[in-house]
Amino acid sequence: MAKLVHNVQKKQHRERSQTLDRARFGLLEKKKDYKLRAADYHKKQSALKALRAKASNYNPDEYYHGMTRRKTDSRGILQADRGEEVLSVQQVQLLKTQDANYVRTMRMNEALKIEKQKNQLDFGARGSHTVFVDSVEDQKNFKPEEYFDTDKSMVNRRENRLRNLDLEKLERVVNVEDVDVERLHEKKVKLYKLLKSRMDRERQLRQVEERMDLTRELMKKGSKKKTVVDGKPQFKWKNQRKK
Amino acid sequence: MAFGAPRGRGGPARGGRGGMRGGMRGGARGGRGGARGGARGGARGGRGGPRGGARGGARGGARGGAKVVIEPHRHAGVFIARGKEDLLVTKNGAPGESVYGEKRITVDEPAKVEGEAPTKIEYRVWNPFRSKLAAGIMGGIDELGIAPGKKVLYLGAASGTSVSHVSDVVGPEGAVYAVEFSHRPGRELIGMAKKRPNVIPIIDDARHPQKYRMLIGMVDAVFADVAQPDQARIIALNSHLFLKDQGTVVISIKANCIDSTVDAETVFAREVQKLREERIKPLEQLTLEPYERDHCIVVGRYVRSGLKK
Repeated sequence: MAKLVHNVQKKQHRERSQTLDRARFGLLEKKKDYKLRAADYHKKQSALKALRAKASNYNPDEYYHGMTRRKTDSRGILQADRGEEVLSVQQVQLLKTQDANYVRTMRMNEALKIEKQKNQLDFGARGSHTVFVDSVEDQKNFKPEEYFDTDKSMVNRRENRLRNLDLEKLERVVNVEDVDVERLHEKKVKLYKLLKSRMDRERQLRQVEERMDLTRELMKKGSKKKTVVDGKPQFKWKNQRKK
Repeated sequence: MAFGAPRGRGGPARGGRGGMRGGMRGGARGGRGGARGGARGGARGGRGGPRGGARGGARGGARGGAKVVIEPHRHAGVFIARGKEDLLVTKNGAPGESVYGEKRITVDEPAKVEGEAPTKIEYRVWNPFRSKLAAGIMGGIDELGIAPGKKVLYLGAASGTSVSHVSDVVGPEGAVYAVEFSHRPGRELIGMAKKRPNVIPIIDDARHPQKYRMLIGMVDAVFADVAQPDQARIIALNSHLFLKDQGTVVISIKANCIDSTVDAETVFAREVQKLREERIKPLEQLTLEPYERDHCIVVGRYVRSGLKK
């Protein structure tokens, strides 16, 4: 039968919550939470008690079948098998070559990109320029700005030494008013940064590759000696005649 | 990828990325796909394939976004595009097409007359790492002999990548006689020449210039990139037949190809001496670092009456 008290009139039940000053302890623990925690605690305590009892009753001379199959280390801790599948040395070597191949592919990829970008950004030539003159006097009196028929300021601008005639006409001199020079500059800087990051990555990959190669070599047979040179381990293999 | 076949970006030259993809999806020839395959071949070390960007090809780089300043060059017909990267460029003689997958840059040229729409000018990027002539220009060669309106004999044209730029430089009034002996690159050279009326391809041995003497008139300059041990002789033979007096001779020398037993400097010096004996007065010599190793370009003037002793 339904209650005759109207729902609205009944006082609303509100659950207690953690007070603000105790907020650092987390949520307020309710009875159902406490029961779970206590059960867990008692279970652990009883397990410990059972283990202690076992340890105190331990007879070092007693024989167990497990002793024949298992091993303990020097501190008496069981050396258990973790149930992982065991790969042979050959299999591990193969997997390691595959890893190394992947790293090499990525490095070559990077190296190719670096080369291309360098070609793009490396605009200036560095070759030596020889001018043949008729006599020793000509050689003594040689003036590059006269020979190239250009302004003195342009002598080192190898890629484009404009002629005096063109410089005077001004027609062929670029008008840069309508070009956002700053933005171009920004873009250039960005390209250089990209190149730098590529080079860093390539260097790191090379180190990884070297390390991988070394590990694989170390897995092979042959007596070797380890030395430390400048804080880096180096290995020297004994010279051995191969078939 | 054959150079004669319609290449690359199937659609209109200025089509956006979307346009290209569309072309790839529907087009039976799969233009872009071909270009990409070529780029990969190039990366593996093949010589013929366009090297360009692995993706996007002509699209990437200087084209999109910020503007590019075109700076006129000391050598008329050559320009430098200064953008986020600086590039050597020539005005494209066959607009809308790249010859070997090189980048193109389109620039708005304001109209001379007030109120008219600006005209678009297309430039092609000339990579000094691929072309010795471009490397020479970058290195600051004083005299080139290749300028608008000039007639040029180009020995060792290969597949015509550099020849196409020389054809851009000499313009419609000039002419380039491109001589190449091997047939395979020669085919590509002919394909390129079909689109450029100022290029005359000659598939013949440059050692026997009398064989093709009927095709060539007097020329203003001879450029040679033949990489043969007897290249001085080859150049001399051609110069005596076709080069006018006081014409320019530009020779690219690869030290290894002449004599690999002595150092590069000695080889260059010997070649210069050989040229002197052939009535070519050396003017300047430029090594092509960092673009090529142990290469140099020698510029000389042909003096028909002989050099003073």
